[in-house]
Amino acid sequence: MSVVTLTMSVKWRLMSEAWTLNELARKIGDTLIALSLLKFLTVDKIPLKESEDDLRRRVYQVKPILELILRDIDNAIKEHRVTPLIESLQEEYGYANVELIRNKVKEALDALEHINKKDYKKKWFDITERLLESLAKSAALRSYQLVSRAKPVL
Amino acid sequence: MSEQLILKIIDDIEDNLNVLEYLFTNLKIISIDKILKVVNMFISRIKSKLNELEDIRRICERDLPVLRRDKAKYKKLYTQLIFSLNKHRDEIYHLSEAYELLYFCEKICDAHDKNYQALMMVNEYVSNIAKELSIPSLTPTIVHNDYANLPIEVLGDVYIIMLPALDLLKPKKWILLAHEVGHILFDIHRDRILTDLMPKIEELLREYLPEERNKEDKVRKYSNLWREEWLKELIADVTGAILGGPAYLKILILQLANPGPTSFVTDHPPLEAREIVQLEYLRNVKAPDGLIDMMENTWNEFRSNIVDEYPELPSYLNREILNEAAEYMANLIPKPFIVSNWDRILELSSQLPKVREKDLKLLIPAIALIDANIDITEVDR
Repeated sequence: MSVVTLTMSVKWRLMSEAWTLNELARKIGDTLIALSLLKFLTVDKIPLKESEDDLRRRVYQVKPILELILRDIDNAIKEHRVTPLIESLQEEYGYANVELIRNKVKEALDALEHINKKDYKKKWFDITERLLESLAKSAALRSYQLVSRAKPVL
Repeated sequence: MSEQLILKIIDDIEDNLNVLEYLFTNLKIISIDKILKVVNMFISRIKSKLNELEDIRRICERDLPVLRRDKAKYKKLYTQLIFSLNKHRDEIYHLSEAYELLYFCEKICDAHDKNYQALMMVNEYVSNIAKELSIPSLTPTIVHNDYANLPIEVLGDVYIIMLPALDLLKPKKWILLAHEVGHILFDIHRDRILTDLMPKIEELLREYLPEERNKEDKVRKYSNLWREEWLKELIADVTGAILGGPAYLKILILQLANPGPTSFVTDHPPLEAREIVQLEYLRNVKAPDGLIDMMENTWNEFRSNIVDEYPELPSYLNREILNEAAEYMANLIPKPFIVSNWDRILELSSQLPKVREKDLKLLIPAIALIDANIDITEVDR
């Protein structure tokens, strides 16, 4: 098989994955903006001109992403292999045990439900923010790595 | 503290998006229906990104100044906004890559009327074979420099399939697009295939890998290669067999011209493994003897003249594991197109080039089967 043939088909696969991860990072990043604004508005009582309902709705939109991560974790436990996103959560929380990471994601999902029910305690914001920040950074980093692998080098 | 720089970044990204929208809107190849649909999806995506940028601009203009008194909070929001803008910038890179693909295709079509006509036929062929496999994804086919496919998840269920520009006027080579469509088939059934097949493959790896101290590590290593790389390639090859049988195998050998059919260097399994899985699949679905014979002869004609570097496939890619994959695919698709249409394809191939066949699903394997160089744009369909 020619090297060129391999390089090109792999290139598009890497680019596709990089694009998907970039979009994931962007969506989580936008959630973090909405989460910060909602916290400033409700916990810190800063008079921003944002609609509380709209911010809460935007924060809650991240739920399907967290559910997907939870599914990935379940697969990782079954198959004894972790994805780069799960690895980043292991580093963030300092747990090698994937079961404990699963609990952290469930905790964040629970915190999200509290926020969605207007239970604006600082701890719910902190729990959600910590997980989302770690996921956003990891998705962005992985996306860069894939793009640089896909780019032809001299 | 000033929002001036971040607003300049927004202006710059907005400007880039406007240019991209203009470029996508002015692509001429969009008169091909499937390409038109994807181009419109890209344009909608750009428009929604422009709206998202306006949201960020609003936050910068309205909320950031309110936070100026609290440095920590200001910096936090500022950094989050920059992160988001950075991701928008990265998407511009991906959109530009997609545009380049379409632009290259447009230039090739511009070069000759026949190229445009052939591209329309390629799109018709890929649509037909995707339909044959009940694949609902949008699958425009364009020319680039290799056989490949680009799944674009951000647009939903869209795959851009690529054919080398050099093969655009060689319809016998179009049969290789069945492999690319096979990747979509794999993606659709991915979870089911992996859940059903991987435990069996792991079991066989454990049975056939030689006993050694780190055997379990090797089982894990090869199991990962099966999961991540080999299985999808082999299932894409079975798809080639489903749609083309020996016609696909013949052109696959022609294309790869691999002097080491039992060894592998990267993500694709060795050619011999790719041949075995196709043949075993066709045996499992009880393909006619003539078709099986032609598969075997096609392979032997090539294989018998190659010096054996390794006489057999490695144990982690042995025949038993390949049979397992072939048997699984036979259960998934028990009545392949090639078996149901074998007689008609043979008949067509004997009549070429003077045929009146409208269905490219039949015509392309017939052309590939006799390895004919036919100008498909001249065939009386």
